[in-house]
Amino acid sequence: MSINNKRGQVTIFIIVALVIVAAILVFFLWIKPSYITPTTGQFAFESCVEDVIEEEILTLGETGGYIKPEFYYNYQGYKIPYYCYTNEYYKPCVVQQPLVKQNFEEQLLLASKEKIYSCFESSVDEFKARGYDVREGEKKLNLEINPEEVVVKLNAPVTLSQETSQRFTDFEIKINSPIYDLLMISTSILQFEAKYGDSDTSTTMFFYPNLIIDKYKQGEGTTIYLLEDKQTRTKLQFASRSYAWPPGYGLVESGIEG
Amino acid sequence: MKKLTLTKLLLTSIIVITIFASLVYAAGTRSQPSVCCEKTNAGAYCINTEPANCDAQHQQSPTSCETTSYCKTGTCYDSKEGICMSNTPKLLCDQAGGTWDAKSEEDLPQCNLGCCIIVDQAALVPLVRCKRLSSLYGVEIDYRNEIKSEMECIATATAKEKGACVFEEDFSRTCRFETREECDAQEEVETIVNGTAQGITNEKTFYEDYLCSAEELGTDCARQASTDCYEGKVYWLDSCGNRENIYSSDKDLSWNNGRVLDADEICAPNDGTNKNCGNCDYLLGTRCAEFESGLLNIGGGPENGDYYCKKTVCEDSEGNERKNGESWCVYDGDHGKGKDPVGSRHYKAVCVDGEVHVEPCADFRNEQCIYDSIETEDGEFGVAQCRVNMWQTCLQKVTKESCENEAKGDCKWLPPVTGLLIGEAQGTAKPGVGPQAQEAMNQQAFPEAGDTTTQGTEGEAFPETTGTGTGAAITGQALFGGDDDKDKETDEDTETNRPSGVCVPDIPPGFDFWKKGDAQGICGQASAKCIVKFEKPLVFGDRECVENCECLETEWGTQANTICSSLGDCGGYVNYIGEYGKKGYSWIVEDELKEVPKPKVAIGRNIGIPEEETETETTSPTGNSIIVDLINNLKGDK
Repeated sequence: MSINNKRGQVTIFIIVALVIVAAILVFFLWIKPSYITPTTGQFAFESCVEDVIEEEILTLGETGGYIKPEFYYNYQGYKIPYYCYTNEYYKPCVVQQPLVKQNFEEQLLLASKEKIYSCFESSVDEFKARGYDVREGEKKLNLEINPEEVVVKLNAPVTLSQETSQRFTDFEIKINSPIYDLLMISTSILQFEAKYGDSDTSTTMFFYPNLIIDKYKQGEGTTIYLLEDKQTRTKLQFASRSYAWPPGYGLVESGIEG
Repeated sequence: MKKLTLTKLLLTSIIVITIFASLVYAAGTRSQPSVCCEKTNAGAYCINTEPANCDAQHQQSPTSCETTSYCKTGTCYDSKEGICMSNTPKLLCDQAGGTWDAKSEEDLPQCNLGCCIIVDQAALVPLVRCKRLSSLYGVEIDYRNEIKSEMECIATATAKEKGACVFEEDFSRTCRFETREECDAQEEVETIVNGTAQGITNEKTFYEDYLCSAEELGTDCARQASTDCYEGKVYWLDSCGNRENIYSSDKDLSWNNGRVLDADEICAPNDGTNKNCGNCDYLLGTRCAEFESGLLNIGGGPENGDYYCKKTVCEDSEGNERKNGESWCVYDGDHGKGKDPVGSRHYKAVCVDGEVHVEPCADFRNEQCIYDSIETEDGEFGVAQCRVNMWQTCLQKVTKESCENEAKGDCKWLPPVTGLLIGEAQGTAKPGVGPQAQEAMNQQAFPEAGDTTTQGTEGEAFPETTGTGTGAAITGQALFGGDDDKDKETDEDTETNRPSGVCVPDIPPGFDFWKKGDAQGICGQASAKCIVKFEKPLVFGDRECVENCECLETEWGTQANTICSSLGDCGGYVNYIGEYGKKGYSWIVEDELKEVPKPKVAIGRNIGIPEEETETETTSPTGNSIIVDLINNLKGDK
């Protein structure tokens, strides 16, 4: 084989390599298929969703995971829901909220749904303003609270057309949050309250040094539990009344009304 | 005619039965609570209460909730999270999407606990919970059913070897510092030839004991970019955010040529004196924390990064140093020995990472704070706990031995008081004053004096009397019945039903005396009546006290009042803000009101280190004649 032939082969290889590199650059920089970026892709509404979720978690946590607590104890201006309650003395409480995490997820979804849709719509409006033809399908929102994060899953079929068409369906946004730990510790406290009427919070604090866990016993037998993440200041507070003792012998009044 | 009589009889019977049934029903409805509300007006579920409190749109049954189908409690099982919740009504469990079972948690196989190991952590949880946790943390399930003890479970979870997990991502060669299991490497390459990692493919590769920043691995993670806390110690982090070795300002020593190095080989366990060594030690009282530099970093923070070993010791309100995890009691003033002020409560304080958390024990002194300390190599380690105050049976105990048996109650033994009667009076409807006391206030029972006169109690609290006899009495209302018999007064001797001493609560309970309750009843259990006898010469000279003369002394009133205030918020005593309430007693000698000196009580938050028990010498006055009234009411004036 002559040297010229070899040079020719090298040139072809270089050209092929350049074409491949150019194709890859075009593919990733311009086309950006939605299946490669399974998150929000060009839809810049992540930070909006993040703000909504963070704000709603803070608000919900102050009222024990309820948008409007129905059965609650008034404590320092907060409506703190009873997770476990009995109106009688010397008796264990009856659990009022057995699935604490699921309830929080449901209420968080309810509280943030419209706002998240609004975040998405704002993003869609931006595309419309830039001359895109936008076709949308029915939206579905789901969220899950996992360790250290809240995962928001938005199913919103949308097609953007200008010269070419792009179709997006699923958007997944992960937001850092300590709420999972707070909910799981609350569940554990609730298990103790329902069985023994009390829970040793100081031991739990040593296992979770990033959390503050305080309990405040009230005069009529209610205990307020306050869990707070030191860093993010995310709170979860709830009430329980279990194995309450009356003042004196408690012979006259048997308890408080339910 | 016969038919008419029969009809009349039948009608009469129906009417009688109807009236009887109505009466029975009416009697039944008076006993409360009478129904099980599925939901109350306030929004609570499954509550035994009065029918008027039930939400009309939900069910109610005239029976206890335990016997209803909709409110029977059992275990609610969350099959997704693998969590069991006992004492849950079926209705609520079903509504929440759980699976309800009438069996207790212990009897349900899906709630049985076992040891779940997640990397180097462990928890005693049901199997399904372990599966869920393993899936959340992305590791294979490791569940040991045979381990039932939490301590054994924690001990099982040992630190697993960690290393650099190298892989390709976004056209760059990157790395995560994790365990072999977490890495899930397809191919294991642990040899480095001529300073270059061999056999790298697109798959993950695990390098045991290597840091991600090791030069040989050729990753995009640069060494020692920042610091952070992990398990209470300070660690270096590489530019990819992976944990490296323990932080030290001697960067080369800490980096150890990109190999994992034991913390103690980098720097000695830090007692908080060295800000440039991240080897914090829980037992030495240090823990990783962010350094708050303040203005111009005055105070000297760590040379690199923002984290250091912070001393976790706390300072209690008396300036004593408390170790991390140590707890102690805090009080509103004097405590124990019947000295707790009205409205006070006990508190437990805990030192957590340099911060003191104060947790109140149950109100009305239904709980007391108990304290003890453990001797350790580093000195005493205090442990406090709130526990139930067992005062209820104290007054029923009549011997010193049974009174001071700590296993059976929190009581203390006081010396006898002349004329003291326990449980001889009865309750009243007038708030703050027992019936007997009330009666005593409304009647006059001081007879005319003679040469030798005896005078009884039960007279007006503030009687207008003349004569030579004087009565001393502390009266009130009692829970166990028995009114002082006023007909016996005049000629009887001074009597006491506690001749050897009185057993009273060590920590007097508090009452909600502003509400209708049994506070009056408890205060009224103690009453004292002392008949002091005088002799008067036939012709000249003043009368002379011959029996029970001590009852006229202030000391007698003080002793009697001590019994009253030991029962609870009774008698004359000081409240938690230091105000003295005199309305809790009436001490009448002849027709004059006397005052008990204000008890000396320390007020203000203080630390409770138990004092040595000291036996105080008290006189035990005995004798008879004359009457002094001291009516025991609620302390009031909260």
